[in-house]
Amino acid sequence: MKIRFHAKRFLTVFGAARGMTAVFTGYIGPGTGSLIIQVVLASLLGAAVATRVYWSKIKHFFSRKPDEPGIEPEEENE
Amino acid sequence: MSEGTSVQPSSFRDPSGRLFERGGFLYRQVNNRYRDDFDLLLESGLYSDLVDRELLIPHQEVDVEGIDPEKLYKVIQPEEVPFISYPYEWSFSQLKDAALTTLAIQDRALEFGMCLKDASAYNIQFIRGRAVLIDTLSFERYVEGEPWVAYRQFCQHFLAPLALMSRKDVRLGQLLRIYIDGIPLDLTSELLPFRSHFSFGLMVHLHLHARSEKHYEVKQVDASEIRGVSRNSFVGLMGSLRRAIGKLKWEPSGTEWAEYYDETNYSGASFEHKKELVSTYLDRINPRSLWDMGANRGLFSRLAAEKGVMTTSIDVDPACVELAYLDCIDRGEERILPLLVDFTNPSPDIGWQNRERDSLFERGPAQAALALALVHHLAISNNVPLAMQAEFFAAACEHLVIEFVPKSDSQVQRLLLSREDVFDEYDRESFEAAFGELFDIEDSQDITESQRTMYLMRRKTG
Repeated sequence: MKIRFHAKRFLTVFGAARGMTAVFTGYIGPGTGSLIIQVVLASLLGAAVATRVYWSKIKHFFSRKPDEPGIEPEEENE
Repeated sequence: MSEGTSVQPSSFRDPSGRLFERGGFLYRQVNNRYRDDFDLLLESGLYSDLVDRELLIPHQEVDVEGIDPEKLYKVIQPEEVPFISYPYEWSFSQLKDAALTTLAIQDRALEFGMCLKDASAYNIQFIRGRAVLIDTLSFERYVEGEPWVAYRQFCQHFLAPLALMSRKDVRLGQLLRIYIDGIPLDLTSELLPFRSHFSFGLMVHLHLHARSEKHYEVKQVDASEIRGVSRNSFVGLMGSLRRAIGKLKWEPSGTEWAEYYDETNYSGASFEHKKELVSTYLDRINPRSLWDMGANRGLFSRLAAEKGVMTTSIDVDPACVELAYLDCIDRGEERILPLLVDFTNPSPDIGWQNRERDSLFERGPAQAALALALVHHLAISNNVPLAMQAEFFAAACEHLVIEFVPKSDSQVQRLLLSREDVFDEYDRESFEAAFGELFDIEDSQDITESQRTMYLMRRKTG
């Protein structure tokens, strides 16, 4: 199965974060292709993390009893 | 550089510092360029947090002359690692635990505003039975927006070999011995079975990762086109790697040696006698360190560990080493390090100028060694003459507890079933003559209800 790789399209669609540094610190070369796929994946996975966090907040809001103080749910780690 | 100092050839890649040895002690020079990150590691509380969790090797700052005064910020002395081992000597679960430890450290680092700047499997060692990071200079300040610079290294050093071992063949872990910076992702992608595309973690972190590397190999990319990685995205990426690693499993089954103890022709009495002899000889030697060579699942290693001996439990069978490691984990064993080594082709010196990673024998000799039910395999299955075996063991240890298994033993008969017996000189007299050249035979005892003999030997001096 051949999968055509169009990372730039993904980047256009999902690249929402800001502040990319042109030159990375560190002594190991991260690899251009590796960096690009990482940014694409991280955007997708980050969106999933954010969705889970907000979903748990929404669930918490609706499951809260009226007299219960507004305790913020703990942020999920993944 | 003062006399009697040697710089460790394995630590040249990272300009943050260098490891050096002086007077039998290992030190690490921290360079000025790493000052800010080193201070942050200590002042942020990350160092204490990781040391308390036994995830990072503890160190002491010492007033010792460095190796390069112009670059010197500090000299630290890390706790001694009892035995340095390498990823190609680890079983599947050892490599998996090393990977998960690396990610656990990354999680903690992020909590303290830092992250890992490298993710080399060589930075992990097994100390008191646990995977521990030994490179104190692996941390840098986390800058939100920057991707993880060690992502590719982590995939090459951990995810790729684990996926190949789990989804294709456990022996492919040995590719780490050829590729010192981890298994190339394009090769991993080629070798993995097609069904691995249906695992999200393997699909994205290995297959797509490999394709992206290939795609951008020769392309000029304007870095400003690449957007950053938010903290949520960074956390998401680590979670995804953790899940991908966590899902990889390998169950040892149907191997030659894993059922060894059940299949040998030992009667209960002879096995008990063998244990008793080994125990008596170990008490006589009273070693600090021991190599159990051909350890199988480590039953005799356990006997030594119970006496307080730091034991490296070595076997050629990935299933045996895996079972031995899992057994150590179950029992909270701190004194046994199971390792995978083929004695007919033991770990060589590898890396830059063949000096980065030491051969097995460079990391020895052990004070004592056990070689139980091993000689006949080396002699009959691998055609190693007894004189060459004696040389081999003399290079490995000072004290040797070794079992001779004669041709009349059913295990040897089994080995000879499908081949011509060309081993005219394989008998007890030849064995004693060959080993007697290099060792003093201090004691020998026939093992009850068997044809076998146990020897206690000491390498001749001079």
